Amino acid sequence: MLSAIAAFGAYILRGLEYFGETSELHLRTLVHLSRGNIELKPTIAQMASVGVSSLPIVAVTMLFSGMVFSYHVADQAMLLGAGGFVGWAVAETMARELGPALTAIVVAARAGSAMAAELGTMKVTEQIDALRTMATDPVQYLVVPRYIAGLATVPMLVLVADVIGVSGGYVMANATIGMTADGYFGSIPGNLEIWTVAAGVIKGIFFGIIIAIIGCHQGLYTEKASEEVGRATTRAVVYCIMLIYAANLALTVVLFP
Amino acid sequence: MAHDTDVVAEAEREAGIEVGEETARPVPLPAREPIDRSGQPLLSVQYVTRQIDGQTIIDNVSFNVWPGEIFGIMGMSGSGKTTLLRLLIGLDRPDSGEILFKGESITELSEDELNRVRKSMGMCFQYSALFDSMTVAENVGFAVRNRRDLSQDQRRRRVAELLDMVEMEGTEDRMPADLSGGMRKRVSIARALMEEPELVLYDEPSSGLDPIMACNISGLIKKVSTDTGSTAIIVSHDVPNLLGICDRILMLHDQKVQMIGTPDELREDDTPVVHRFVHGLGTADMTEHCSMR
Ligand SMILES: Nc1ncnc2c1ncn2[C@@H]1O[C@H](COP(=O)(O)OP(=O)(O)OP(=O)(O)O)[C@@H](O)[C@H]1O
Ligand SMILES: [Mg+2]
Repeated sequence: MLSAIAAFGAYILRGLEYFGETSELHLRTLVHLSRGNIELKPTIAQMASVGVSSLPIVAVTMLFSGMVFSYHVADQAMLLGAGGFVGWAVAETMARELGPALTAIVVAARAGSAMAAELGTMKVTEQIDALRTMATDPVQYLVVPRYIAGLATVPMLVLVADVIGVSGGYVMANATIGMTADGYFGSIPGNLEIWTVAAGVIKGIFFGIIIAIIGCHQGLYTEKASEEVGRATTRAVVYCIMLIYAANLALTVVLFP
Repeated sequence: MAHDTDVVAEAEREAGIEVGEETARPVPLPAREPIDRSGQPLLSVQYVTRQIDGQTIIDNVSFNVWPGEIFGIMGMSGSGKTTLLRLLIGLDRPDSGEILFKGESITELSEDELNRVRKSMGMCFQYSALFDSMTVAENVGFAVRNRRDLSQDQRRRRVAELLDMVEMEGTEDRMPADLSGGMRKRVSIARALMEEPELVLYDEPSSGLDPIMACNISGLIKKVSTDTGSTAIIVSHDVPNLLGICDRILMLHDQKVQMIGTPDELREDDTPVVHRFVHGLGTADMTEHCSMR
């Protein structure tokens, strides 16, 4: 019993420590940003890397998700005689939930893990120490570019995801209930509010930040052993996904009161 | 076999004159001014102790290094040499004691303040620590990548000059992963020298190099220090080269300073551990197995 309490206590302490470390990392990143300490070359490289590496998987994921969702909705809508709203229903769901959340999870798996692996390897091979001896703050040189890449690229990917998801939905609606393009897409402009799309994009910004900070933190705090890099990478993805879901709930409540 | 040792011995004697046919390029070793030890030391280590995981790695170590000096640190594997170097450049902090650089204590400085001090230092890591996502040229030029007072062209020329110095000319566009361990080492030396630091810390600069290249690197370190008046601290197992180029050498043993002295003083010291180390002998029960020495 006592050991169970002790274990629980240790767990809580570890959680607090983790929260402290990531908060500090985030704060230091923001300080560099506010001072304009931004290195252009690595920042552009990171944006290209996060965007390009994630785009194909985002596209595939969203295409199939849109199709599956539309398959269910079209069926129900026909029963209720509301077939004219299928396009809107798919678009609304994509913009509010599926677009941002699925994109974030794909980016976490693809780019968040890469951040942890790259920085972890640099830590283990003393490249981070080498940066420090050359009077370069690793947070400024490594984390700030990834942070900018996360918060700039994920929202853009969310928009792309929305479009691909809705398009996938059309393919399925057309195949199952013979919906025309006019009927499907025509129902969207009058019903889908621009704010709904914007809210999804705002979620994307927050998710991008979460991915960058957690991925970089796992990398920078890797213990000095190569097998630790693999563990840090796995942890980065797991923590990202958990935090993205939790943040999604909070953001949904705030953005759609 | 005998021929090889002759070649090495000769190269060592000439300290820096390369013997290979193709690459023959003498590095003329300039005469060194005597070190003035009356003023303020460049680096002063005072009663420094460092423990890691409850284990004492460095125990109450004190020494001074004066400007222009080439200072060697030797000791057995695991004796804390790398740990000591990391303390000197502020990568790690001592548990007690103080380290002064040009009279300023660096033990309590924040990372930002340390970065100011580190601009006057360069470090060459034991395992090179090259940035593996960058080319050789980007690695060497890293420290000056944002310097506005240097044009692109000046930077490129300086990188080429340094690579030439470590006999790595023409490798600018190669990636570290495509280089051998010794080549990486040399690139890392060039990188450490980019900003013409006042103090250069070398962690095993010659490990993993063939004897001729090891000797050339030693010669190069001496040449750089003499030409620029910079100070060098060299951690090495390579006793002959260390004795050949250092003004003074510190021997670490059992976490403590065993001895600090000139190469001649070390050669003549008859403390068993120093004697064995300097003359390359094993411990008593093992000596007969390595009697080739
Ligand atoms: N981060 C660390 N965690 C735990 N122990 C460490 C750490 N760094 C060094 N040590 C221990 O400190 C001691 C000295 O290590 P150090 O790397 O300074 O030795 P060294 O003299 O440079 O050895 P070598 O000549 O083999 O490079 C070793 O016993 C090592 O196990
Ligand atoms: Mg070492």
